[in-house]
Amino acid sequence: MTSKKDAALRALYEEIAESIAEAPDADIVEECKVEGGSVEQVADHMRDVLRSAWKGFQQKSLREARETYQRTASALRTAAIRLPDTAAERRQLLAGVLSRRPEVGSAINMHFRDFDQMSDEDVETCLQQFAQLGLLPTDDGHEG
Amino acid sequence: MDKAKPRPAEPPPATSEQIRDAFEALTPIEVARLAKYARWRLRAFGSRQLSRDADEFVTDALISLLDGRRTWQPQKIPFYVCFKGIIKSQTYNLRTKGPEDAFDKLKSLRNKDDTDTAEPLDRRASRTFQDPERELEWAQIERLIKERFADDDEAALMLEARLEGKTPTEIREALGLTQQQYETIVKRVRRAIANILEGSQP
Repeated sequence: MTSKKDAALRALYEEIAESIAEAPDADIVEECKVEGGSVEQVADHMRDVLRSAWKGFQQKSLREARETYQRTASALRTAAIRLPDTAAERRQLLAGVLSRRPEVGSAINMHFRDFDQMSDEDVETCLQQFAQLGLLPTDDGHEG
Repeated sequence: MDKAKPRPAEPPPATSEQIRDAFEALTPIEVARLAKYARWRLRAFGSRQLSRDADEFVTDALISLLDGRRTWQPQKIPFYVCFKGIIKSQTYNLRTKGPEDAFDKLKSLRNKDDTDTAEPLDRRASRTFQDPERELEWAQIERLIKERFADDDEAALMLEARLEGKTPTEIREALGLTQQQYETIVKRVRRAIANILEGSQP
């Protein structure tokens, strides 16, 4: 609304709002009484509104976090991990990842002591974890 | 040439727990004052307020603080001051960025025959307001000037001048009032308007 009348009314109410903010405590007490209540009643209601808003926000945040976690976990579980068919190819794939990402290689060496001594099963487990971390190259050759 | 001094790190914004503790720590007077402040700020908002009541309005203000759209830095200002500021800027945002409502669509049609200055106030009000509730408030305040403030020239003049769009400074100067005298009049006006608008609290 942009009429002059509306602007005048708005300015008046805004001035009254500011006057409330600056009014002495005794005025607030008195005006609550005149309106048929008490400061405590007005304050209790407002505090209940704030508590309810706070609690609602916390529950919403928790719900959203839980949903995000469930979506991510589900995506990880169902992600189709296509590994090469033979153990030799899988070992070659792992070697390729480790040569591109030396820091990953260091971690693997710390865990398995010797890359060459890793069992085929260990290689497959490593590749599955790499796939979930997006470290395996995708069909177009990028890490995915 | 002096090296520019590194800016001190910004104090961290309050956590949600700090925010809760802060509103729980407010005194009843402070909370009541904030409630009244929010109510008047919302009332000033006019027709758009129809989609919000005072409780929702306060809830919106707190949520904006909790979700990070607004921040409170406890080391800088008290929670009361911060929350009052949020309420104030929230009404400003609603006014300047709020969605248009059905009344707004009628505005251009009404403006075509808005002979604002040639008609008596009562008839002018009914033509220029799109919100029936605002029309009623305008009429009630005009009646207040004529009846309740018939014996209170200062309050009547102040209110009339305010409705004419005069600023508090202009009114103070025109009536030769000190700031304190003016504030006393505002208090009388506030109580009288609260009284007539009782029952239509936003």
